[in-house]
Parts: sequence; structure tokens; C-alpha cells
Amino acid sequence: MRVKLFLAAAALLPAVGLLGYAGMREARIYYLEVDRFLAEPRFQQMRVRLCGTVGGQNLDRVPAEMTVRFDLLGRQHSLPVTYRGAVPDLFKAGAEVVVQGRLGDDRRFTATDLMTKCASKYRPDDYQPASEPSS
Amino acid sequence: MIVSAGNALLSLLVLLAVGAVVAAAWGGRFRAARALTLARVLLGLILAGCLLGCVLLTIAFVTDAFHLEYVASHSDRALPLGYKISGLWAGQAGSLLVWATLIAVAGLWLAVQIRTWTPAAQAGALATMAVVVGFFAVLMLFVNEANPFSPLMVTDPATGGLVAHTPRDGQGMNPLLQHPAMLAHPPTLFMGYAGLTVPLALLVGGLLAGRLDRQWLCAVRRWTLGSWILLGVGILLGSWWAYVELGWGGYWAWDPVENASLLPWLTGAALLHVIAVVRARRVLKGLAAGLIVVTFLLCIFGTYLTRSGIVPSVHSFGESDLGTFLLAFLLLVGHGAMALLFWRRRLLRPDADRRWDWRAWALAAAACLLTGMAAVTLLGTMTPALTQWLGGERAAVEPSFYNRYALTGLGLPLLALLTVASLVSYGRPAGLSPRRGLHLALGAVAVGAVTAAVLGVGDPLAVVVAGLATAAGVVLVADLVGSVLARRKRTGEHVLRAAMARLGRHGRLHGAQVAHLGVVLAAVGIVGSGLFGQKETVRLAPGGSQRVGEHTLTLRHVRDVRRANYGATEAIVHVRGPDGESTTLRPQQRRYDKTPDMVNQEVALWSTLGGDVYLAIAGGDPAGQFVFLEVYLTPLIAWFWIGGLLLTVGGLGPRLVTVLVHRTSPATAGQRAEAPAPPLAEETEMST
Repeated sequence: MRVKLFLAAAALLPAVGLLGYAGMREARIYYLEVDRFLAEPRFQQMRVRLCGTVGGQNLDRVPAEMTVRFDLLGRQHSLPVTYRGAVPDLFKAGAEVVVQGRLGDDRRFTATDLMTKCASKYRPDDYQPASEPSS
Repeated sequence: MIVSAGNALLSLLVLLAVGAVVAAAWGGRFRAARALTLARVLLGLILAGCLLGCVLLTIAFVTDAFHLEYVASHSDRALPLGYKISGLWAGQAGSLLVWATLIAVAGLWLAVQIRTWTPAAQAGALATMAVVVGFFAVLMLFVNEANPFSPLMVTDPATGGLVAHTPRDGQGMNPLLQHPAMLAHPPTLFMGYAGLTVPLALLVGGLLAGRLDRQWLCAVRRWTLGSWILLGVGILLGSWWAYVELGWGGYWAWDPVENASLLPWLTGAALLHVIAVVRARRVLKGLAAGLIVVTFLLCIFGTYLTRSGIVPSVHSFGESDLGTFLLAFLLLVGHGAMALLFWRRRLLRPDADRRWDWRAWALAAAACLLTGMAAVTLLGTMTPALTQWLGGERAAVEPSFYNRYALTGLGLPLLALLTVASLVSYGRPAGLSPRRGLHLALGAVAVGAVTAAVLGVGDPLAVVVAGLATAAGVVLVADLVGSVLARRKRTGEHVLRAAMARLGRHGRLHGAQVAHLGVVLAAVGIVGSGLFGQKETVRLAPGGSQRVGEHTLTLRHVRDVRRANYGATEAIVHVRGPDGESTTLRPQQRRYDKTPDMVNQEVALWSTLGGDVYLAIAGGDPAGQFVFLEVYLTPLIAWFWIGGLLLTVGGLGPRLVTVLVHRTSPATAGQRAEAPAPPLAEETEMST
């Protein structure tokens, strides 16, 4: 019985592993920071997920078009983003967001999904926490 | 004052935990009853200390002690009292304190429960509980981000050094967390996590004592079941919160934080199935032991996953060196447990008179499928970290990965197995012969599938699920009802009395049936809402109508609403269903005075057994000339919640019924008293 069980497991495990790996490759989506995305042209052809911070300068909500335009800030570079759809509650300038979509011909990133990071902890406005680098 | 008192308390907790470990080890090694008593007392003191910590922190929240960083970043003066108290678990540091407190509660409870066990068994269990709670105290004491009592420090612009600072007001609580479900979701989840420490403690005790007997197994089963149910309720509350609060029309997004709580739930479910095999057949003890360890490790691993920053998540607690501590603890416990299991491997061998039967095979297969689901979920969740470790670019997997592999690939066979297993294991006691049961099940598969097809369900997956779910449901209900009717026929009792008596006597069996019925209904809800959900964005002017699916939406008017702490735009929408029934929904977009630059969705729901109509305002003309509404039609989703509820009732119900039957029915009580006490009286009582 034990030998049979071991043989069955030995046969099944690699198969399951392979299946999982294949599935992982198929369903994967690159998860990048803005700078990395802009530095590597191959990503600019794909649908990707980008994380960054919402810039305050060009933040433009157009409720009549159900659209929001903003700059997604990386460490050094920023990327203009257009998103059409319901904006999540925590979206505002300075919020960390994750957008999913692809780069358009006009070099604007068209997002189909916009998620805000749901931080349980609010970043204080009237003091600079010691552990945070000043921005 | 609170800062120094809190930190002193945390230091004391570490010392008490060390003391409890030493006392337990001494008591176990030298069979010293007094040392074990001391260990119990120390566990009691740890609990008192943890509770005092919670009280201190609650006082800090209620009195707006913003000189504490934790309070300043999770509360403000205007926050309602209930949410101020919930601030205790609204963030990382506080939730660790709550978790530690709950482990301490479980530890003391366990200590009292097993006080008559052999010294070695007690010593192992008590020391394990003390180690885990001690670890949490160390975390809070030494990792700044995990310390709920650390003072708020700011950089002094003049000197560049750090100075303590008390802001005028706190930053307030995340508005999304200000929801009734959030009052209950985290504590329930942590109760589950804390409870799942106990099976590990019992395992260590049992292995050290060299005895894994029936009494031990019963204790493991009871603690696993209770904790697993609490974990399930916690997850369910979290999903419900996401559904009604986040405004994207779904309840599960396969985000790492959600997956982290699902992993121990899945392995816990597998463990419960393996325990049933061990109880009945004395085989698979090693697998049960392995699952106990893995389930505990997954509870901690989930925290590691989300707090260490190795996997990006939309729910982020921020990165900190908490991860290093958690990883070290995971490795320590994992390796320690493996060494212990290897050392006592003889105990885990099957008994000489072992016998496998169909029921045992079915249970083992269910455990494998559930563990497989956990493995797939883990793989998907870890993909960002794995792709980076393997030297590639960081990539995540889309929800389709989980849906295809965890739900369809493994969940569907699980549903099929449930149908077969219901016939194999339940068929006999109800007087339903396996042959008749099989005919019934096959008939039900056909009826379910044909009905679905006739109703216009085109998706083959849905047709299969409809067939399987109907069959599993019919077999389970037929058995449940059949066994009650059989008893009524035999004894001539009233139906209700027969049902109560039957449930009281075979509570575990019928509890499992009700729980499995819950799984079937939840599967219907998952498939219905997942495959046939519709999302449409409509632009409506006042008086205008639009059809979405089989529903007609008419915008009556848009108005501004003003309440004490927010202003809102409200759309009044009349919804007419396919059968002429109608209702009025009022979705809102709120701007809270505290956070005027943020827009909060307040979704409106029309929930029926057939499906939900879910409305959220996505935008519109500021003058109220038109609004954009996001309309989600989620068929059958109510069955997911009903299924979850049944799963809980099935787990808890038998115990309640047993208590009720024994209290209310003198006849049953009399019968029990007259019957000779079984060799393990406690077990029969506790396990039903």
C-alpha cells in the first residue's frame, strides 16, 4: 500500500507542478514600477500592472465623462494615465495606486482597472513620521 | 504614562512567557505537579497582562491619547466611540496585541482542560502556547511598527533630531474601515488564528508524552473545528464587507491578503477530513500531524506575506522588519516540528488492525483536493516573489489562474466527490440503500443538468455544476429527512422530537451533512455570480430609463443630501425586475468633511434569491443633469452567503442541539444516565 501511494504521489506531483507552472505563465501579468516600465520598451507593448503614487499637479477628474486623468509618479519619472470608470474611494493626490492596462500610441497609459492601496494606517499630514523619508 | 506602562507590560509578558516555558519544561521532565501548576498560573498572568494591554490601548483611544503613534494614525476626536474601540484592531500593532490576547485565552482554556493529562503532554502543550504568545510579545516590544505603545516621534527642524510630539488631532480611521462588518471581521479572524495554535500545542504535547490516543484526537478535533469555523466566519464577514463597501460588485478578488486567510482555512478543512479518517480507521496519523503543523504555519505565514512586503497587495500594512522576525519564527517552528515528528515517527504509524474502507478513501481524497487548492492558491499568491527570486521580472497572476485551477480544476472534482461520498458514507444509516441512493443521485444529476439547460444556461461548466449540486443536495437532504422519518416510524414520536433526538444522537454526522449542504449552495452562488455576472455602465438623465439584462432602470431624480459629517449626491433609481416586481434604490457618492478630496461610494443593493442588482454612482454631471451608474447583476450570489451560513451552522449546530436535547428532554437525559458510561465518556460528550 505504502509503495503504491508513493508511486502515485511521485507520478502525480511533477504533473501537477508542471500544470501549475504552465498556468502561472499563461495567467501572469507583469507587475512593475513606473521607472522600470518606462526603461524597458518590451513592456510597453504588453498589458501590465503598474504601481505608483498619484501626482497632484495634473490630477483632473471629469465626472461628466466618468474619467480621471493623472500622473502616476515613480521614483524619478512619471507617466500620464487616463482611466475611465468608477474611481475607488481612497483615490486622491498622494495615494498609492495600482493601475492595469496598456500604453497607448499617444504615450498615455490607458488603465482599465484602478485600485487604491487600502492602507489601514493613514499617512499623517501635519507631521512627518521619523521612519518615513521626506518626499 | 501609557507609553511607559505599555512597554513595561510588554517586557513583563516576555518574562512571564519565558517563566511559563521553563516551569512547563521542569514539570514535564521531573513530573512535578507543582511546576505544572505554576505554568498554568503564569499562563493566567500572561492573559491578565494581555487583557490589561488591551484595556490600556482602549483607554488611549477613548481619551484621544494622540501622543501614541498608533492612536494618532488610526483615530481622531470626531470618530464615533464604537469605531474608537475598534481602533484596537484597525491597524497592525493593535491587531498583534489582540491576536496575542486571544492566544493567551486559548492557552489558559487549554491548560485547564488538560490538567488531568500526563505531565509530559501538559508540559508540551503549555510550553508551546507560552512560546507562541511570548513570540508575539517580543515582536511588539522590539519591532517599532508592531508596538502599539510607541510614542509619536517627529523630526525637529531646528536640531534634526527626533522629538516626541502630540498632534492636535489624530489622522482618523480609514473611512472604508468604518463599517459594522469591520467591527467583527478582524477579531473573528484572529480568534480562528489563535485557536489554530492549540492543535499544534496538543500535537507537541502528545508527541512528547508518546501518546496520541482517542482523548487526544478528540481534543484536537474540537479545537480545530471551533477555530476553523471562526476563521470561516471571519473570511465570510470580510467578503461581505468587500461586497457592500468597495463598490466593484464582487466579494473576492484573490488578493494576497484575502488568500492569506483562505490558506489555513483550506488546510484546516483538509485536517478535519483527515481527523475523521484517523478516528475511524487509525490510519493517516502522520498526515494529520503534518496538516496541524502546516495549518498553524500558514496562519503566521499569511501575516508574513502581507507585512514583509515580499508580495505586493492592495491592502498594505507598510513594509517593516517585522517580516524578518516572522520568517525566523516560521523557520524555527517548522524545523522544530519536523524534528519532533521525525523523532516520534513510530507514533504516527498506522495501527496494526488498520482497515481502509470507501469512506476513508473518500475523506482522504477530499483532504488531498483541499490541500491541492491551498497549494494552488499559495503558488498564485507567491508568484510575484517567485518570479523575482528566479531572476525574472516581477509578475503577478490574474484571477483567472485561481478560477481555472483552484476552483474549476480542484473544486469541481471536490463537488463530484461530495456527491459520491454522501452516498458512500451516509447512505446506510438513513435506511437509504446505496443502490437506491445511486439511482436517486443519477436522477438528480440529470434533472439538475437538464433544468439548467432548459433555463438557458449555455456554459457547460455551469450545467455540470448544476447537475452535481442538485445530486449532492438531494442525497444530503434525502438522507437527513429520511433518517428522521425512519426514527419517527420506529418510535412513533412527533417529527420535531424525532429530529431533535436524531440530531442529538448523531450530531456529528448530521452536522457534517448540513455543512456539506452549505458547501453545495456556496458553490452554486460562486458559479452563478462568477460565470453569469454582468457589468454595465449606463448614462441616465432624470426620467430616463435603460434596460440592463432583464431589469429596467429608471432614474427618478438626483439630489444633494447633507448629513452631520458628510455631504452626498444621491441618485434615486427605480428598478423593475423581469417578473414585474420593483424597488427603489438610492446609491450615493459621499464626501466626508474630514476628507473632502476623497469620494466615497455608498452602493445600493436589491438582493433576492435569484440574484442581486448592485448600483454604484461612477460619475455624472455636477448640475445633476445626468449620472453614470455602474450596474452589476450578480445572479445567485445570495446562495453563497446562505451556504456560508449553513457551513457555520453545520459545524456549530450539533453541539448546540446536543446541549438543547440534553437540557430539555428528560427522557434522553434519563437514557444517558442509565446507560453504562463509555470508556471515554468525555469524548462522546464533547465530540457530538
